[in-house]
Formats: sequence, C-alpha cells, structure tokens
Amino acid sequence: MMNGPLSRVPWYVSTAAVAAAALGSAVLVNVLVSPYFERTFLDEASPLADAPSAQSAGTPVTAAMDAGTPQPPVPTPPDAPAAGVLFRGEVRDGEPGHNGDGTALIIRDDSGALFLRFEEFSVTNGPDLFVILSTDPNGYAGEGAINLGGLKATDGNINYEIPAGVDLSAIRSAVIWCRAFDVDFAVATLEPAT
Amino acid sequence: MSVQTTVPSPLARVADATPPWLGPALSLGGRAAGAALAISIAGNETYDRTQIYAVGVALLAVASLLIVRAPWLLLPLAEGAAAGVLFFSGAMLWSLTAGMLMSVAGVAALAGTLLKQRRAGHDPLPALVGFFGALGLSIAWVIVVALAVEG
Repeated sequence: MMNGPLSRVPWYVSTAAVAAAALGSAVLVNVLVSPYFERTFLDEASPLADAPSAQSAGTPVTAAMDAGTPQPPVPTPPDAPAAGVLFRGEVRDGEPGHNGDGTALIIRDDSGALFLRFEEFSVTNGPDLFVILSTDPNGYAGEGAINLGGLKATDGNINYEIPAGVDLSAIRSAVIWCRAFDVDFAVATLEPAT
Repeated sequence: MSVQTTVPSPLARVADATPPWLGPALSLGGRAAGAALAISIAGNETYDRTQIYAVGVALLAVASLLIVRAPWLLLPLAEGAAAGVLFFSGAMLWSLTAGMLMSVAGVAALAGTLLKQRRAGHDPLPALVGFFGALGLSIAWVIVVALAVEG
C-alpha cells in the first residue's frame, strides 16, 4: 500500500498544493514564455508619405506602405527644418537567441515632429518589450536612453513618435529591449543619413 | 475508547469507484491526444520556432507511449513527465485553441497515471515529480529552440 511522503500529508493539503503549484506555474510560464511563440503584424504609413517638399529636395524618403488618395501639399513654414530621414541603421540580432531584421530610420515630418520608423521589420517576440533610443551604439544603456513605449508589433512597418524636445545628438542606436530580463532583442546602430 | 477514522482522498475514492481500465486509458489517451494536438500545431503554424517546438513536444509524448515496461519508479516518472510537458507546453501556447487542449490532455494524462498508481497501491510521488520536472524540461526545450532557430 501507499506509504510515501505524500501519504503523511492530509489529502486536502497535498491536493490543493499540487493544483496550486501546477496552475501557478502554468500561468507564470504563459506570461513569461508564450510571447516567444506569438507574432503580430502592423503596417503603418511613413510619416513622409505626405511630404512632397522632402522628395523634391532630394532627401531620401521612404515610400508609403498604404496606397492612399493623393493629398494636397501641406504648407510648410519658411523657417521649419526640412522633412526627411535624419538617421538610418540596419536592424541586427540582439543577444543570443534574439533576432532582428529590417531598417530603422529617424524621420522628421512636415510639421517638424520626429519619428523612429522601422521598415520591413522583424524581431523575436518576448515579454515586456520596449523601443528605446540609446546613447550606446550597440545596445541599451540605461543612462540617457529614451523610452518610446512598448513594442507595437513584431513584424511590419511601424512608427514610434519621438517626444518633442529630445536631443538627438547623443542618440546612437535604436534598441528593442526586454525590461523584465534586461535583454537586447534587436539593435540598429544609427548613422546620419546622407 | 476513541476510534480514529481517516477520510479517503478523492483519488482513492475515484480509483476505488471506477473500472480498472480507466487509469491506463486516460494516461495513454491523454498523451496520444496531446501528441496529436502538438502535431496539428506544428502543421498549422507558420512560425518556425513554434513548429519546431511543437514537433519536439509531440516526439516526447509519443516516446512516452512506447515505454510499456520499466522499473516501477521509472514508468510513472516518464508518464508524469510526458503529461507535464503537454501541460506546460500547452500553457505556453494558450493563445491557440490546440494549446489549451494540450494542457487539458496533460491534466487527463496525469490523472490517469495517478489513478493507475493508486490502484496498484503505489505512491503518486514519482508521477508528480515527473510532472513538475517537465516544467524545467519544457523551458530547456524553449531555450534550445530559441538558440537554434532564427525567428
């Protein structure tokens, strides 16, 4: 007959403990690991989609991903900086097991607003992922980093608005960073666009 | 004079009240259904890592079905581990209906193994050790897939 350690514990205690441990572990695993198996897609138009001034000035301009109705030119104040791509970098893998691909651009639109845009982007999914502008060219450096918010999608063409007043002179990379485990999932070293 | 009585556990009551084939049937059926669900996930999903992860889970579950004779401690350990792999791997894939069903199959397989153990008069501990040990096995397999498969 049964004479193991569990037989010395009242059944309602052992049953409850086993059920709670199993359910708790499953929920924890679901929260922390399930994102690795999920993909999300987003296709946003480039902030330069309606910027004829930038195109005519010869500045590299990314194509709008959504074919839309042609828009009339937006009047630009005479002293406003030209719209266009300011920085560019190729998205590469982060730490082992974390892959990234695509192009990262810092764009100024006609209104002067700044955006980080990922094109043909793909990154390994994970928990608690954030998009960061970092002062380190090779990954997340806590000091001076600018958090642009949570990752919107793992794949696609995606814009992140850069808050007004941010000094871009110290920014060296765009990083997909996991806050929960402090892991870089993907990095794009940014260089001034020519 | 006082008489001490013990209330039998639900497992003991169920084991005593159900036919002897129920435990083995649940154990085998749960693992077979879990393997089938894992194969369906591998076939239906397009993400490489999910596909390869699910194939590994299916192989482990099928391998456990092939173990029919083993020392008394190893068989419930292996059956519990297979049930755990299905349960915890299913939990990682709860975003899919098949993932949720895989967890249910793991619970059914564990329940069957525990019933079987109880009817044979054995302690359920080896099956439970296998079940919870499978959490580590499942996470280790995730890490292997993440390191080996780009995605």
